Amino acid sequence: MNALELDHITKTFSGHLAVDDVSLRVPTGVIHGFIGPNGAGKTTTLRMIMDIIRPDAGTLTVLGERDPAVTRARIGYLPEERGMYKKMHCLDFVAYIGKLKGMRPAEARERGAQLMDQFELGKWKSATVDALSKGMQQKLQFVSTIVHEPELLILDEPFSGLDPVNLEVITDAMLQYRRRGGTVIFSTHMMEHAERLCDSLFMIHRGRKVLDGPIRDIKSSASHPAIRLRCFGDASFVRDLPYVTRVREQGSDLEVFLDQESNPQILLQEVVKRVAVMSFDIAEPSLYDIFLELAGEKGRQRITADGQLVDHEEGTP
Amino acid sequence: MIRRILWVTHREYLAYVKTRTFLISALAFPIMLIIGFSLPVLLESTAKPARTFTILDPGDRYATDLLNRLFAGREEESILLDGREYHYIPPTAFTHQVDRGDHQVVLEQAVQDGRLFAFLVLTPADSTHLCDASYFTIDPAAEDFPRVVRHVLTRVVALQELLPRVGDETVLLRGLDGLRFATHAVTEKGGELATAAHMIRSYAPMAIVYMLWVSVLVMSSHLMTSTIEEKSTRVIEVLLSSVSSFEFMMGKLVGLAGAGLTMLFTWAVPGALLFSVVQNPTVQQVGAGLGGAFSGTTIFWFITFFLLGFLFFASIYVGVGSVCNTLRDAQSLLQPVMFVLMIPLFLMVYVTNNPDSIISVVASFFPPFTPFVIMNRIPANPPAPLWQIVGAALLLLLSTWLMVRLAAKVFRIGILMYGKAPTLPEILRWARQRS
Repeated sequence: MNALELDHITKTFSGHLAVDDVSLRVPTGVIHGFIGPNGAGKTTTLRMIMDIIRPDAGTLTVLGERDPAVTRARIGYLPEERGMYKKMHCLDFVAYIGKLKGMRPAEARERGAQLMDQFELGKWKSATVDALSKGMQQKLQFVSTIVHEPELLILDEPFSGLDPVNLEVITDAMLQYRRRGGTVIFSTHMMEHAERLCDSLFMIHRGRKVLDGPIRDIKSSASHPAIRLRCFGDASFVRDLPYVTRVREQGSDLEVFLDQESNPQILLQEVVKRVAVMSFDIAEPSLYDIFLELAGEKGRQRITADGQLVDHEEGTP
Repeated sequence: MIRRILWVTHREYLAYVKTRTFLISALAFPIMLIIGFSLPVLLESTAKPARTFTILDPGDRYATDLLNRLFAGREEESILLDGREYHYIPPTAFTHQVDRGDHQVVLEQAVQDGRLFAFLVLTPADSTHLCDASYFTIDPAAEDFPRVVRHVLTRVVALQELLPRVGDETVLLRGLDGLRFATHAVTEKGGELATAAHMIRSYAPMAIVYMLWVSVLVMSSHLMTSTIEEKSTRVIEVLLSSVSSFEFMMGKLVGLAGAGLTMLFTWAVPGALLFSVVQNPTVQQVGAGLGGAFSGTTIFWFITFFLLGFLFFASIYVGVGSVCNTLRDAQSLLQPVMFVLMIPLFLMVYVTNNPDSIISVVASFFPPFTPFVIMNRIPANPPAPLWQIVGAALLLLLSTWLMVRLAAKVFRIGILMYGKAPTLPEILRWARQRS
């Protein structure tokens, strides 16, 4: 059974097409990534899955149900914009969300306390939320998302703003969740995370689906292998070779992309003639490269200092 | 669905009732009541500065006689009224260096300078009056003293001018006292002498309206503030993944309606206790007056109209709160609502005095006014007829239902909107949209 089925979903906000005729299947028991630059339509899609906003057209089937009121209690949702009642006691907040999800009060408290212990928040059960550090608040928010043991976990940018320790904690929790048979859907604009965690993914760009499927299939079907090149001397001439489409500097290495017809061997022969080659490696293309290729919008995106993919039009300086 | 609404209700109720604001407002009302009633009593017992007066009576036709009667039995040349001394100073103290024609001018100056509180000028009889007395004072609102002076002066003049003609002092004084005229208030207990309690009873409806108005406004504003807070702390999206926006809004409305009733209860109980325990006659009279207005039926209708009125206005407030990100935005959007809310307060005195006039009846059936005007009329005289009360309640119920549905639509769209607050026409467009 599929955990999620979207059929021709469209959503417009005052003239702006946010999600354009998107169809998608997410099987049960996988970690599925929603990938795209900021403003691509990821959050809008997730909010429609949660029935927080309604699509203008198309149908949604979540956990085999069409009625969002029925499924809401079976989903755990961590929105991108997180928040808790600042003056509420931590365990009270977790239990409150549990109760709204249909748990009995005692059960919600018990399970909430268990999870708080597990996430090393045990000492803070009767503290107010605003007494917690930002990192602890993020963990508490995650605890409140999974307190009712949902079958489907939907996380919108779960890694944004996390410190490395909490990032590991949340990643572990997601993997553990899948091991127990749960489905995780998460969105991110950081491709490395998706690459590391996902079984399958969905790429969205300017409201349109670019690609979806298991990550292995996506990578193996990618037409362009990336060539990682390290050499002594100045290799910048590579950029000017007619069959090279793109070059990216990665520290002292160069990542070189060739056009469809050319064989990597031609490049190797050419480079060997001019400089001393230390290593020449034909690698799987990264998700980022695949995305750039499929979006067909080379030059429109750029990578920010922290490795985020940003659309040039989306409010970048 | 009901269970989720109830959980939201539960949290919202506790979140309000457990705050310091609630504790303060719950305590503030009885404390203010106690201070309000004990302050005049306290002030009464504290010493008040003495006042001075003089009498200008050329030829001393009445002045000596008047003063003797005013000072009756006292050693000092003063009278004591309401805990305050009024000292007599002979006019010569002010006028010894000026011409007779300028005496009044000098005394007026003394009053203006504060050396004198008041003075009395007596001039001889003309064809219509036995005596012409003019009272000059810095404070015409202080009526006790001139009333006493007038009463005593009347006797002095009458005895001097009329006794020779009437012959019998007893007859003369009986003539002066005239007849007894008493006002009786007719109540369930039959006719009884009108007291301050009866006066208070006639104005009690205004107190009831005011209480209703304050509680509706306080609770609605709190609801709006908490909605804006949920938006700005971004907790709202977490909640909306667990409950629908309608369930969430209803939970908030019901929770705060309960908190409002609790607040009224915390006002009523110490209030009732105060009136039954404190033996001060003023407090007793106020208690009797208010108590007369608060019959069982009135309380029933009060709760009914509080709930309906609160839901009506709270849904406007929650709708506005949902589209705004700051209190300032919300306040400017609420200005027209505040204007409408003020009108029943302006009408309060009119409706209390004319509860059965056509304006009062029409205003009862205008939903935004209904709770206040009808609660003004229920304990009034004559009370609003039952058909009007029930009719107005049903009309308000219908409008409240429409208002809640409208608010739910606006809420659903507005609650996730950040940035600039929408204009009224935009909000109305959302309201018209089919969900």
